[in-house]
Amino acid sequence: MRLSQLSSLQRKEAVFGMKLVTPTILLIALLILYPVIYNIYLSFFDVSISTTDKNVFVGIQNYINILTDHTFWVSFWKTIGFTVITVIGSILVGLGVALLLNKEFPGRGLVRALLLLPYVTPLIAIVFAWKYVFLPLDGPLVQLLSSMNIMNPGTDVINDPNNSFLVVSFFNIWRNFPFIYLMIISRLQSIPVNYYEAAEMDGASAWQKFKVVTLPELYFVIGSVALLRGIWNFYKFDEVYLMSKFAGTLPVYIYEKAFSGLPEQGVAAAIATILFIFMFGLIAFYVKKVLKW
Amino acid sequence: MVKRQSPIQKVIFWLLIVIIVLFVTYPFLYMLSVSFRHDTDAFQPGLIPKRPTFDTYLQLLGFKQSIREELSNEQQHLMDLIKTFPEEQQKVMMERIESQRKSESFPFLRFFKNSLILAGLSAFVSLVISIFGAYAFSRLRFPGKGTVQRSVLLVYLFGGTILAVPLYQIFVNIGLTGSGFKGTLSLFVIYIVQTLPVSLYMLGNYFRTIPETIEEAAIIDGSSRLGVIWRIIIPLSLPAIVTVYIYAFMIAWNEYLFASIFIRSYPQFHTLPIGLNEIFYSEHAIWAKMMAASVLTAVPVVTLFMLMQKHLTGGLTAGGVKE
Amino acid sequence: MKKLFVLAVVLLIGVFAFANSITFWTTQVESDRQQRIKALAQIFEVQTGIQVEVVPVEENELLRKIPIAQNAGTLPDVMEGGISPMLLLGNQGFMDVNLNHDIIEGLGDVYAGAKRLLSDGNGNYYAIPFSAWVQGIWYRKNWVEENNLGEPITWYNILEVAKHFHDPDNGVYGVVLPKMADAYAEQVFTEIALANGARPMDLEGNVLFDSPKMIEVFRFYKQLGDYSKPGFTTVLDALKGYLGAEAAMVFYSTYIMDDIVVEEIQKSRIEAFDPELVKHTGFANKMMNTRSTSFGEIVAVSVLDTSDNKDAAKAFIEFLMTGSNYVYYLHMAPGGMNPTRSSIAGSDEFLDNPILSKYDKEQITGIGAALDQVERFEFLDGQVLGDMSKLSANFVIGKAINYMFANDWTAEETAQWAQKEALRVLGR
Repeated sequence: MRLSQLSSLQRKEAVFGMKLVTPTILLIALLILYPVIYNIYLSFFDVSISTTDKNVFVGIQNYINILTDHTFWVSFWKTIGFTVITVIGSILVGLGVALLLNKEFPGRGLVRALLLLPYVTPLIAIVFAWKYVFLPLDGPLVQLLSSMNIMNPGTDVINDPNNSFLVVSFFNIWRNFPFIYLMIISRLQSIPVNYYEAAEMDGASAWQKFKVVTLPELYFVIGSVALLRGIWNFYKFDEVYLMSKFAGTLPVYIYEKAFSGLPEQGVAAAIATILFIFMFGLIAFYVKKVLKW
Repeated sequence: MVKRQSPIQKVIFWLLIVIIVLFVTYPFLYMLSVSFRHDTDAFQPGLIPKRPTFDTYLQLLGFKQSIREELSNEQQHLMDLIKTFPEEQQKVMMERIESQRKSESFPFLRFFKNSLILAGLSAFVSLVISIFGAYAFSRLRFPGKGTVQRSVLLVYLFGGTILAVPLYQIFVNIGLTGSGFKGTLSLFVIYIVQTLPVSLYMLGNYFRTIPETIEEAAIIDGSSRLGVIWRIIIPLSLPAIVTVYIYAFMIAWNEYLFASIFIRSYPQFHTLPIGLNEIFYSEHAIWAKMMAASVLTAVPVVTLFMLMQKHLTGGLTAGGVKE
Repeated sequence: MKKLFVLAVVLLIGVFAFANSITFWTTQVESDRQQRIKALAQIFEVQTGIQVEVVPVEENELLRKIPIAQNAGTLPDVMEGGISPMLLLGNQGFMDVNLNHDIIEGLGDVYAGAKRLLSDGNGNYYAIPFSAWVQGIWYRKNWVEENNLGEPITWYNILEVAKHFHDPDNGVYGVVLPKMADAYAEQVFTEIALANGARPMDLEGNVLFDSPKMIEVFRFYKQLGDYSKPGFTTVLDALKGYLGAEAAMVFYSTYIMDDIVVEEIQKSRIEAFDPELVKHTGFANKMMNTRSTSFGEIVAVSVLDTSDNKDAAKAFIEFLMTGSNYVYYLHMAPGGMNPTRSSIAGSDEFLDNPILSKYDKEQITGIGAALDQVERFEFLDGQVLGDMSKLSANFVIGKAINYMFANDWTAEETAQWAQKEALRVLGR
């Protein structure tokens, strides 16, 4: 569409439309697209923290340092682990709860309202309660689990430098399954009843009905939700960092490199670039193979 | 679906419901319980506080002094210091000190106020911009519309983690860091952008459901497009607008990463997430106080959500809200 | 007439304030502390006409902000902070060492032990000691005495006390030991290592984590871990462990003194029972194995060399460190902030405080005395080891301790790791 080909009224409308979106375009261009490119640019520099010292061009040195750094790879695999566990976990819990709540029962309204709590409570208001129940020896949850011989009461799950990403994964599932449950249940309720009736007439068991009717109907919803959660959790910082500073996923690693101790922002920019390229490849693959767009 | 359940199935069903409810509410139960205890009792076993008290709440809200404050003797000591000066000077000193203190109220209330202003304003500006943007996307034809719409959605692919370093560098370069006020300003701009895509998407979807014929009638009557937005679109989509506002508000209310980068060094400007986290790591033996602060932080948002539950969950599933 | 006079005074002050102002960076960022500092600044302004802009800066942001401010030309006139940043900045020529010297001499009664730590090696000072705390083992004195155990000062006694009271089945532990990768772990480790004469770095900058002496330190630390509260405990656990009678000993600074009093009062109010916690608390302010050492921190103030208003800066520091002003400042953290001037430490005015008055006078004056023995890794024979600060900023020691417990490493393995990590951080 070209402006010159339009009638004067259409042109007036088009100009008006462009005016209306100008603030949006400006903001997104300046504060999202430009920074992403600037980030790639910075990743080739030794970024100085003071304003007048020049950044020093170091070529791909930052990348070489990162890719040969053992801690980067540990962190990378933890991030993958965290993303996979949380996506699968929250989908399973969300799907289960959605199936369970898909029938009428007394008190359903209350249960549905309670289910939203984990998702809508401000993050900062809930992390301390989880830290409290997980405290070694004194935390009620740790006491409960150790009385059932599931864990040793002295285990400090939150501050363990090796596997605290597991407790963070648990927290993430708890916090985000309501989102998935909502998406799934709204789809479930739009499945026509006669699909099930037809299956029943063919003598299908409950499991078969689920496999033949429900699951195919949910395929696209689950596929999209998995993509969204995958992207978000791969980049997730606040939920991870506030729950445990020692979870060691890449976003936390970037943050610490860039903003604590002696900052190495060029290195942080390079990690962010790697993260971002990796993510892009993964999304392209996923959209093509799983969502079949 | 309509088949009757056997008693065993019923028991299992209700058991599962109970498990889910417990799973969801578990940390909240302890949060409430501990918030009504004294700090020394924070680790008493059991859910019911043995010596329930409102003290922590009263202290947070500034109605009661903590023991530490009682012991500090600050006022008395300050008076003694000033006593030695000539009367006129005493007056000037007291006035200045008091006016300063008035502006630096109790930390929790200050965090609350800062968060409220920052989230409230940035969500408002984001809302205004996205009403215009969403209207243009849903109603008007103009060159480049498709590209712009797609690039707005692209934002979903860039988490805050990737933007943190370049945004910090950009704001340093344009001089928007180095004081609490400037840092807050940076956050204000960032929060607008962070919430924009969701708002645009949700509002655009909603505007498309409003029949165009209503607008056409108004336009024939001589109303401008701006007049249409103001007099027809906004009143008709009020529920959606409120929903979008609450979402945008919550994103800013929760935000930690950028706040920690731009305002962590300026306690006067701390928002709730930063402030509470700093208190937790700098003060002592304060589980009861942290839990009371958690409750107070959660209550406004949770209440808002429960009141608006229908609209909000609808918006959530329609928009695939970005985090 | 009188009103006119006041007006004139106020106007004059205003004019002066405009012409005469200084900037003061302080690391006391908590709001109750800011209140006191700003009140003092206001009094100073009314009194002298010199306006003081108080800028709170977080301790771990200090070093990052200096180069930025230097380039922007907004360096402060006066700065307050811990020993490490002061030594580092002083070493880089940021401070007016002569003026600092003059101020110290003018005050006349600054503790020698505190001065020594800030000396530039040429008779001048990188900064002026302002307040101090000491760290050591706080222990349940009544328990130790009832069981005829020795004071936990020597490595041997510490281990004996820990073993004796360690009873996890009943929720009592020998000690709460830092096991997280933070500054607290490094502080405790420093005292233990120096008691064995072990240092991670010598004057030539050689890294010595794998020296036999250092391995002994790791071994002792690990052994102590067997009688410690489980979990990756840190400073908050230490406090809770001591106040809750869960541990016989904890490592803590003198900042614990007000916590103990607060706990005692809270307990006696809500349970109508006085635990007499203050009375039953003992403090080992030094440690010994092959030699004796103490750990502490001096918070110092300094005039910057770039200040264009050094007279005002000097006047402000002297104002802060004099008589009632000084006491008012120090009482923002009773126990945690102790005077570095002997005339103030024993004064009735300083001891006249609801928290300090609970303790014996000797306990309090003893804190200043312990400063004579205070040693730090980054400061040796009057020289500053800049590389040591880099290791601290990267928590090399904290991480080594953290991994030793998380991965159940032996002392040797831990020492090897720390050695490698230190060399990596230093880029060697």
